[in-house]
Amino acid sequence: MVPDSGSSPVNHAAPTTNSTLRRVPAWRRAARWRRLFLALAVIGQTGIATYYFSRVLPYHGGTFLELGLLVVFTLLFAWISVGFWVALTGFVLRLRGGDRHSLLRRHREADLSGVPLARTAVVMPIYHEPVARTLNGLRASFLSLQRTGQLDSFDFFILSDSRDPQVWLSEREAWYRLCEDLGAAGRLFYRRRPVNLHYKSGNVADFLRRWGRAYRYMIVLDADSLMEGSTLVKMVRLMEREPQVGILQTSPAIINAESLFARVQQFASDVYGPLFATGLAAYQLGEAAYWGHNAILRIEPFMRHCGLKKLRGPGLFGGPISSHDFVEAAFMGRAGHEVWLEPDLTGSYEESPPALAEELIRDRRWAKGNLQHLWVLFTEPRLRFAHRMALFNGVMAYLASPLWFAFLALTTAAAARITLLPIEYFPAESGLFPVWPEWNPVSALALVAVTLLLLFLPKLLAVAERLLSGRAAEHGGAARLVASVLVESLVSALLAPIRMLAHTRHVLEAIFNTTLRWAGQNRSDETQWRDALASEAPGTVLALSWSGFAWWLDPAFFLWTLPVVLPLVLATPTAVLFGRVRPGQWLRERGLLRVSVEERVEGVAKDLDSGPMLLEEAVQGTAFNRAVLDPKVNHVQQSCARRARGGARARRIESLIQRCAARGPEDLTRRELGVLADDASALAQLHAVAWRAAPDSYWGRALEHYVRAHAPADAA
Amino acid sequence: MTATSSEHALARVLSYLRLCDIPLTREVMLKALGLVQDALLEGGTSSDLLARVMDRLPQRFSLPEPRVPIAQPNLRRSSIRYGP
Repeated sequence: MVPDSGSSPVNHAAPTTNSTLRRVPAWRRAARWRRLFLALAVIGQTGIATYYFSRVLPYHGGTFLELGLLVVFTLLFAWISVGFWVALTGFVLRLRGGDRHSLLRRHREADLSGVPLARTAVVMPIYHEPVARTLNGLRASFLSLQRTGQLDSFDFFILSDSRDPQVWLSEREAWYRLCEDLGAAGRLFYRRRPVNLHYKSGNVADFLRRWGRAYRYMIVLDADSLMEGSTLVKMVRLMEREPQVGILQTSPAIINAESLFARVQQFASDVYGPLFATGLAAYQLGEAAYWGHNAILRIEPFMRHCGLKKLRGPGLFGGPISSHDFVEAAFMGRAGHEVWLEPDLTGSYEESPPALAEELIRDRRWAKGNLQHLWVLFTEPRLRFAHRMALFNGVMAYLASPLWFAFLALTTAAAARITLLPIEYFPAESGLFPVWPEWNPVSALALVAVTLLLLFLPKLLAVAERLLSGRAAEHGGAARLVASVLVESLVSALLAPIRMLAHTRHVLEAIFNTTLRWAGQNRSDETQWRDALASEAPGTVLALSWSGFAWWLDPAFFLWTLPVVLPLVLATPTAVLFGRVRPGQWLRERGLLRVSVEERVEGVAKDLDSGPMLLEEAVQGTAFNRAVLDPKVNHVQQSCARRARGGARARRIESLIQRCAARGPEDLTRRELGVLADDASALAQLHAVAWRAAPDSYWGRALEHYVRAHAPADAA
Repeated sequence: MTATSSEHALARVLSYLRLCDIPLTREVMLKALGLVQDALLEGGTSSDLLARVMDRLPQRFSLPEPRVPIAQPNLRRSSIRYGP
């Protein structure tokens, strides 16, 4: 039953009475007042700023161009204002010891620890992820859970969508080694989906259709997620105590950062993240968003209400939903279940992309996925208002960039108009009185200062919160904390225009359903100069052209462009150097950008670093050759593979075996290799062929190479 | 000097045993030598010596088979529903 907006949620797990159904929970009342305050604060602040901006403009908004500027400015300023008030709220609440409406604060630790656990599946959907790193992370979480003594209530699933047989053979092999290392047979499972439907949400849905009934809860991890066992256990207990909660989302902190880029993200996540997360949670309360990972979901209502149909709109708005999480949270809320963000649930981590290039590759997917939410926002019935706002927030996360770009373009056009064209004293057709256009640089500077204050004050509040709570020592002391904030601010200021341009491109690509690829993607661990130049050069050229035009127009206007132009001109060295490990380590050695989790080095972080090399070994050489040559690996892969029963498939396989035996795997396409790799009989035959092959044949040489690589260390 | 076919055959046997985690003790070495010797005594061409040796290897040595855990538990099927 889906209740009307504003009434109590339906409790699927406990008996209810009419009085329970009618009574509005306290958090809903608090949410209404808080959101009303937020709306008034943002509207009021934006209104004032827009008014002042109109006074800054020469014609005070009296032309179409300036009207466009005002509209764009209003949207952008409102966006910044929301972030400011969320951070300020988070600061106040954290100083007061937390939000009294928080889910975690309803239960004493002693009461929670006695709650029996329910069967929970920990699932990790993966697609062409670095195998060793991914499974080492899962290993760390497994060990941490084992130490709690509660492992029996949990099963782990690796859900692979990988298509490249070299990758999924490595995954299988690493899964086997992990089972051996952890003694996790019958508790750690591996499933590769033969048909990819609907991306990650389809992967998870496939799991639920097969095994959903066996578990009450599902905890979703990303490939770079890490979670403390105590946190996993606490999440299950909280869900048991709060039967109306459909999804409980943690606020993961970034961990394991090495490059300068990643360390800056890690520092920001550690210092500013709690402030923003607390503020966000305070306004969302039981209508929060789901971020797709490091969260626990109640399976029964999720399966009943959160199935995702394909979108039926034009272009971008057609096909499967790629950013599924926010939509699933909205559907859960529509069904009457609560979705909570709980920032005080620590022990939840993820990794940052190591360089800007990786982040932007990820952002291309997310931009398209978030823009699709516009269709959901306007066509899905009976979504709760808070969830519609969350969807809109996600859209703005990427739409803000083209708006900023438009703002710069319109500003340039306005400057060009006032400089190059004759002054128009009657800009409005119906105006009776002349308008003397006037620039007001002092007011403009004041407005910029206020905007910068809104952007940077949250950082200062975060520093203040650390100092007041006595946690500055985690960052090397007050002086190092402040210095780290300056470093982070400088790096962020350098990256902001680069991201703006990239996100603008992503949005245009998504809207026009095209790929404006003017460079290859970085696949190496550190961004190479050639790749960075190819990727960033167009932005640099655009920036130089713009600044040249601005200088020609008016040297004063040129100065205004520098905060955007300089980072774009420096984009290539920025992309390369920030992605390097050495600068990050250099700062760390001097006590800068230190974070609390690095100082403790315990729990999952320690397990991640101390894992045996067995999983590294799994990726040496090509996985297919290992599957053919190594007797143990061959046996494992055979056990997991299919068995063809004859007919056309068996004949095709036989033909592929002949080719592979004679000329090696390079003679086959990726698809053909996959057919062989997934057939037990083919693997057995190729194994026999390889070990009987003449020394000067392909397999003879491959075998020689493999044996030499695995010879004991003392072999001469 | 290029290795003879019997040297290749012995190397194959020993490599296979090593990769199966069978320690190359004195007894194992003697057995491996005996395997190659018997294959040579059978006659046949040097080009199929490797095949004959590898065919007989499972009969001479007890090769351990790693215990592979089940990759997927038993199915508990159900369906996912969609909104209004």
